[in-house]
Amino acid sequence: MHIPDGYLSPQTYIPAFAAMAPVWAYASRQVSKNMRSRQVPLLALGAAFSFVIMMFNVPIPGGTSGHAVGAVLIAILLGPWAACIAVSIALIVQALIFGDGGITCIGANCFNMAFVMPFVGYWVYQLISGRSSPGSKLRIWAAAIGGYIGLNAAALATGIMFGIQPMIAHDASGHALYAPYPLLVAVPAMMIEHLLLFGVVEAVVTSLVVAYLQKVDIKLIAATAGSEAQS
Amino acid sequence: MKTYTKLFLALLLLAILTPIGLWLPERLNGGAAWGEWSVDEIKALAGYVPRGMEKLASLWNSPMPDYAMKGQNEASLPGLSVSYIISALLGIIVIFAIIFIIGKLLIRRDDTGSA
Repeated sequence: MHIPDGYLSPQTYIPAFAAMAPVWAYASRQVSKNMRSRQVPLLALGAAFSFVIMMFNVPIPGGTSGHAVGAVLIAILLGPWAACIAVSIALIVQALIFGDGGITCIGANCFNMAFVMPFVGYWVYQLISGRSSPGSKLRIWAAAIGGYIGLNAAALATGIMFGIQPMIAHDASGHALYAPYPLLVAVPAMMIEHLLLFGVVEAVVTSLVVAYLQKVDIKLIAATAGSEAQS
Repeated sequence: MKTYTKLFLALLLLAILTPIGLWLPERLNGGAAWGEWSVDEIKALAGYVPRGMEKLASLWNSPMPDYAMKGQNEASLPGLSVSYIISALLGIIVIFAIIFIIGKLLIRRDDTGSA
């Protein structure tokens, strides 16, 4: 899901940076307002976990590969704004040091994986969890479904970004200047693999960690559960 | 053991296991992620290299492209696995450093503050 340099036109990647600038600014303010210094190690662990889990490429035999992101898990533990900061930093490090995701596409990739994903996933998690206790089994399912839908929302946003490129930029002969596949190809291609496999991987990863933390340190789950949940 | 310590150890274990993320796609012939093909791959897929893509694709020279050493033999899975683990550990160190700096700058409230 890391869009490389060359796949997005400037007409796409510049607005993506413009969209992320206020999101990053507001996320920083929210983190500054709502987080305690003792939560900083958890934020670092979350960002590093996201970075490492994205290295576990899962193949679809004979076709393609993909991975979990971990953004919904971080949102469940620290709120979606903190998740936005954590995953953004993981994505920026991946782009700059490891060439995973383009530097022109940092805004777009952060929009998909660090903004759309944690917010959609967190909303689904909270919707399903309702007022259930932090230790309830329902929250494990909510985490799984939140992770699944969150990753698929990010895949949809990514597919749309790919798919609008031939419309935005092509030369006189009709050849695309950037990503060459139209919406009708890009969106199904992105969605099918994430609906079938990578979303399931995300669901398993997210719910396993939530179930584990319910056992060993319930207050980490309780932080965003209940009335004082940060939004 | 404190939860954070446990989670940190689990993270290090994951970092050591990351080569699974190289081997599995290799073994099962997974191929590149959709939309993340190299310029050569896209030429084979689409029949041409989009002109704008050609220009932008080589914009950035990352120090460890694809979580490997520059110019590393791409056929050597054991060699790539070592680089992959080193990349995971390096990523963890850099990310921890950045988050702790951001945390110092942004977060003033400690445990003694009210909820």
